[in-house]
Amino acid sequence: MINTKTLESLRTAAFVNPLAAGSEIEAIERLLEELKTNPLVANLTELKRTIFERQKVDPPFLPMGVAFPHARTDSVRGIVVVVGISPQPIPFSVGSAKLVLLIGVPKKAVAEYLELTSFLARHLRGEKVLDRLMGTTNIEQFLAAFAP
Amino acid sequence: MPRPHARLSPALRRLLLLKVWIVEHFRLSERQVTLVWAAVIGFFGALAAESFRKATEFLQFLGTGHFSSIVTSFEDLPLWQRFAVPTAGGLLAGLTLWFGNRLISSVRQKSTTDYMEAIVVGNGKISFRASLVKTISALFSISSGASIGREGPLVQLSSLLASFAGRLRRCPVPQKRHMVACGAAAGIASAYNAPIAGAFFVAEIILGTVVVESLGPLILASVVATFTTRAIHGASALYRSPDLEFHSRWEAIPICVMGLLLGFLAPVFLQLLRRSEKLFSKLRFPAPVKMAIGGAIVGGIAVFYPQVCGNGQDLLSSLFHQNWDFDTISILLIAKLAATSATFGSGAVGGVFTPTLFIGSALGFLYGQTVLLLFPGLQPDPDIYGLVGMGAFLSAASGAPIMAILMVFELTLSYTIVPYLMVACVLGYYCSSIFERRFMYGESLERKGAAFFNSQLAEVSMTDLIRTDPITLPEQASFAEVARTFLQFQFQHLYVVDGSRRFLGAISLHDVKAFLDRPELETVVIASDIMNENFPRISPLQGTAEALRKFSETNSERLPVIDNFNSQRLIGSISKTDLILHLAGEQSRPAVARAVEPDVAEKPAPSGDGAVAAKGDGAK
Repeated sequence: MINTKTLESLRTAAFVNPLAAGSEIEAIERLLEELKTNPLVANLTELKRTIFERQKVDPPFLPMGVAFPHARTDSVRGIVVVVGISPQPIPFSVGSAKLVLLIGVPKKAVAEYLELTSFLARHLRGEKVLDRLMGTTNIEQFLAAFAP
Repeated sequence: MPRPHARLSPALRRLLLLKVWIVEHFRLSERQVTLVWAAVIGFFGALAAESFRKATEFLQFLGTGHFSSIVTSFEDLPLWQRFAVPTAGGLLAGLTLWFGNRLISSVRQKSTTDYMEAIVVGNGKISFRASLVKTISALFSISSGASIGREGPLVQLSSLLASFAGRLRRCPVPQKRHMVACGAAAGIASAYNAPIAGAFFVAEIILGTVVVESLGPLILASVVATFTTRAIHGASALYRSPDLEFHSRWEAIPICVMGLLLGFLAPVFLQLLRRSEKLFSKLRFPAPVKMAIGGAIVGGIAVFYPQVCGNGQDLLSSLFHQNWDFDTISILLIAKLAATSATFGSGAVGGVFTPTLFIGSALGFLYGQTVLLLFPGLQPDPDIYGLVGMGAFLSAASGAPIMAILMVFELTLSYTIVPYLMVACVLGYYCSSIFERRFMYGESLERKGAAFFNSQLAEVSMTDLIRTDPITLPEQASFAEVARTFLQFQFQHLYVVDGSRRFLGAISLHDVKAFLDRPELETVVIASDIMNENFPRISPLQGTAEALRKFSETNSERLPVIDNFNSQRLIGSISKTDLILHLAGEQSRPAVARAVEPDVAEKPAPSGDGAVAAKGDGAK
């Protein structure tokens, strides 16, 4: 069962397929570009800085090749998500990623952040779901792929 | 370098959920924990008081051959023995203090010997050795018929136990003091079967403040102590009188006049005690000889009036239940005053609280009989005047009208007299305060050394409130570690620090409790993802007002304490309860400081404070 706020965050997410990047930094920067015109982003530079800082501490990464660089920062006014699918695995510091989910969360939205992260981490552990997600070409298909 | 993630087992996760549920629904806050401790202190305080009573009765049996009341025992003694027993008792009490002083002065002590000092100005630690010496000395004095109350040692003993509990709990100074205060309240309550007065005695006289934060535990300690004592001795009021009735509303006028008169006489009584003390201090004899002389004076009076022996409880009971005439009461009043002054002046350990009750009652009784003689149309009942006089005199001597009103009400359980009692107590207090600035309990602090008192006032600061070594997590701690730490400790907030203990923020249990059963989060979320970086923090350099303001910004019971706002190094935490208790104490201090101030210039502080003061302290 998906939480309403989580669903809303994912429904408004930007979608990049194919994500063309040769490294972790390139992948993140490419996804950040999608947020340039997002009204929920107050300060893209700060968001970028916070995400890279967080990546240095303990980059969130699932064993199936899913990375979700994220940050809780006041440089966003609401939750922003960018989905990137890469047919070619991108080398991250902790493994190769084929699905990258970039997330920005306002500092006060702890519960929403945990809800979204929990949803993604729970579903992206399944190989079948991941295969379905990899074949999607837009956000509607991407969301539909979570359904059992 | 990313840390390896430790995961929670399903069993541990279920345990965690149960714990969170329990914490949410039954969590004991700092205040509630203090209440639990107060109940424990009340119970053991009453048992300690009971042990002291039993020891006194046994020693009394050895000295007089009687287990009955001290007055009855002395009435049955041959005349020579009425003189010899108090003299020998005084000598033994003095020798105990003398040897005890020599023993203790060889040991450098950081704790105090007196519970009042421990509560108001000390660090909440009461010396065990010194208390033991004082208690043994008091045992000899009281069991041999000295005209002094056993309430002082009872309170001292229960306060000592509370002090031990404070040390066991390892809490900051204000909490330790507060626990000693609970011990004192328990002692008073068990001594007089008076739980309300026990709590207010400490709040009004010693703490000097009636704040819910401090009063709640005092009340609980008093009530538990009273119930424990009642389980042993029964539940009757100490001086219950038959039905009392006012026959005319005009009696309010003589009652008010009595309140004023007793307000004038209380300072005279206090002055008498001081003079007696000075007189004995001029004698160039060691303490055992002085106390033997004090005992001999009591013994000499007891040859003719054995009723003066003991704290006055039997005398007080007889006053209300035997139809003594004016002359008898007058003679016994003078005899009791002389015996109490001699005992007190000689340095016997004990209190003058019960003797004060008798003196007030006797004066009120005499006044009532005079009113009956002059205005028979009013049909005044001298019993009522005796009871109201008891309260008015106590109020005027102690400077604590609320405690006096409650005490007399609880001792008599007579509601009829309460409105008149209230007026007389307030008038007595106001009248007495024109002449008296130190009252009965300012004396005790003064004896402990005003200089010491003042230095302690300056030393108490925010630093004393800090609890060191708070539970912390590194910023990269996994969600599993966060959950496990919440499981292990009963905190609502966990502090997050970096490698150099710089405070980064706090994680709130409230924020994460709904997600603690999500294993998928354990490896992808870390402490810094969920902490509140703007969590209020305080520096020791900031004042208590600022700390209070910051507490108002959060619903947390604790605030992190950092060394300063540049380095932000976490040095401990401060609790809201400790802060409020500290502020309540601060509020009372100017009044207490005023009480001892006049003597700072006059009298240098006695040296060797760790030694036993040959004096009755506390609940006198």
